[in-house]
This record gives sequence, C-alpha cells and structure tokens, in this order.
Amino acid sequence: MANKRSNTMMKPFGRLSITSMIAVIGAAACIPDAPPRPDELRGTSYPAPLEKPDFSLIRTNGDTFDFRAETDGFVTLLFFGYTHCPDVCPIHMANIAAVLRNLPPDVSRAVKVVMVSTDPDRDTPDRFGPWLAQFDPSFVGLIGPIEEVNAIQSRLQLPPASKYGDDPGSYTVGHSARVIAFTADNRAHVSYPFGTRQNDWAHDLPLLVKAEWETR
Amino acid sequence: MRLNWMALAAAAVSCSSPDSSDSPAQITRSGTLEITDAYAPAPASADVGSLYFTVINHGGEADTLVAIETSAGGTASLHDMVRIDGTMRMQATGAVEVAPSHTLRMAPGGYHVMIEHVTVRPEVGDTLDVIVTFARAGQVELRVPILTYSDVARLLEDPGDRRH
Repeated sequence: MANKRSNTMMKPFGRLSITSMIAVIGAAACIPDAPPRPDELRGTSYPAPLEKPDFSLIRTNGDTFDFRAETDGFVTLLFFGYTHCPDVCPIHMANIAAVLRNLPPDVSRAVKVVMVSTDPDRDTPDRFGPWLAQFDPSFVGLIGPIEEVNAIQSRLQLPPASKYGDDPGSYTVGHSARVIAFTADNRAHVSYPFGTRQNDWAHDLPLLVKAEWETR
Repeated sequence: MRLNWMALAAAAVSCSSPDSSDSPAQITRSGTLEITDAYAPAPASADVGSLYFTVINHGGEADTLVAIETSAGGTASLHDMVRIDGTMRMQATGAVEVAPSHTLRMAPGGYHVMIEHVTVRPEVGDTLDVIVTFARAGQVELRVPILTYSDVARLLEDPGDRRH
C-alpha cells in the first residue's frame, strides 16, 4: 500500500524553483516511508529479517487459516502460548488489545494478531476461542498438532514448547514469551519479549504499519 | 520493577464495592511482616487465575510462607517463572523463606500465586479474600482488588512511561 504512495514523489525534477524544491523536501520529510532504524524501535531487531512462514492451521471457528495468504499486507503479530498460562500470555494479549483500541483506525486496521496454541491437548476451540476473544474478537487463535506447531517455531528461531508434568489438570507448558512482528514485506525485522509495555507497542506499531520496507 | 500505585488506586477506586473500605494500596502487618502491593487480574479462563503480593520481613528472624487459600476456591500455590533456553515456564516453589530484611516480591513474569481449579471466578471490581499462612507469623488475611489484565500490565510501567 505504502509503495504506491511514494511513487508519486518521483516526478521528474526538470526546472525546480527554490520554493518547489523546499516543498518537495518538506513533503519527503513528512512521509514516514523509510523503514525505521533498529534504534528507533523498542522491539528487538533481528540481525537478519525472518521470512514469514507458510503454514495452515485450524482456527478456533473451524476454518482453515493459511497464515501467509491471510496476513499478506498486514503487520502481523504472531505469538505462541496457551490458555492455562497465568500471566505472560494474557498480559501480552491484553497489552496489544488495549493499544490497538487507542491507536488511529488506519493503524489498528492494518494490524492482525495471531496466537498459536502450544497446548493443543487442553486448548480446544471451545476454550481457546472465547479466551482470546475476551481481549479482542478480531484476534485469530490457531490450533494444530504440537509437532507441527514446534516445527513452525523452529523455522522462526523459537525454542519448542515443552510440557512439564502429567496431571491433565495442572501440567505446565514452557514456551517462548516473544511476539514476532511481521511487516507488509512478509518478513519480521523485530520481535517483542515479555516485559514489552503498552507504551512500547503504541510507539512501534504505527512505525511498523507506515514504513515502506524494501521489496525484493 | 516498580509498581505504579497511582494506576492501581485509579483502577481500584472506580470499581470497589460500596461497602469496601479497603484502600487498594493497603498494607497489612503481622508481627514483623508487612504485606503490600496485593492485586489479582480477573482470570482469563474459568478455572485458572493468579495473584500477586509483596512480603517484607522487617524482623530479625526468617519466616516462611507455607500456604495460601483464596475465596476463588480450588488450590493456590506459589510459583516462580523459570527461564530455560529461551522459554519461560512456571514451576511450583513449595514453601518459600523470607529472610530477615528481605522482600519477596511477586509480579507477572516472576513469582506469582497460581490458582488452579477455580470454583468461584472473580470479576473485575470484586475483592478476593486471601489467607496467607506463615510458619512464624501465622495466618494473615488480605482483601485483594481484582483488576483487568491490562491494568495489571500498566502497574508494571514506570510512571514516566505513561505518556500516550
């Protein structure tokens, strides 16, 4: 989307008056199209961007969700967690939801949030769906076999989720606490650890949405 | 990590029940122990919840937190968050000693009370009744405000961060 906007700036420079030159420079300075530098973002920058993985899992509403196709063109926040998680998972989701509610609609509409369960045995669609919807009904919850989920995590340089304990009522699941942010170029330049605050999201999301990343 | 008590006060004042005279930043003392910063998010699911508070031992002898009960029912136990190979997972700690002049601070991402098999799911604005049992100080009763997860997260922000 942003690509089209910047092309209009590349008009021939022919006979430029000082005024129009200033106007051009001024306009260029206002267009936040350049990718943010790593030090402008509060998230953790990847040394080399991650390619958006191609996978399909089942949504809590029963539909198949083709991750790459469904999130194409959006800033996509991808997180792996589970509903028996006492604070890391609900706090990430609550923080992102609260910030999206307060951002301008043109920014929040350009963001998709996808959470993949790391506890498919207990996170049934009936449990996971309402759990996620209480934060924001637009958030997408995905469920799939744990081997498949861990294979996706591995492609994203995340450690596999692992189960500790056998009691179905009280086992716990160790998992990465990092949210990966894919941008419109279908790559992730940055990720967000647990401890990311609402003001960090509010700072970074508009930059991620408005930036024009180099296309290949 | 410093809690923002202005935020908690604002969050709790707007939702405390009329008969509740408890201040949200309530400090409970029992002998040489001081318990402060107690709060709990409204559980995100029907059966699992969490609870946080801070124990300061002003005395000359160690005390040990041995048990926790809450009005949410089920079982309540102290957990820590362990970071291994890039993952975070919680782990039951059993009884935890608070040494003289030491503080046991619970907060999201660290020590927390895990409430499992919740039978009475508290909602935002409710108060959770909690009994904490120490080996020396005995039982201490707390009335804990129930907040949204978003408000709990905002308690962890530095006051100077609250700009937007």
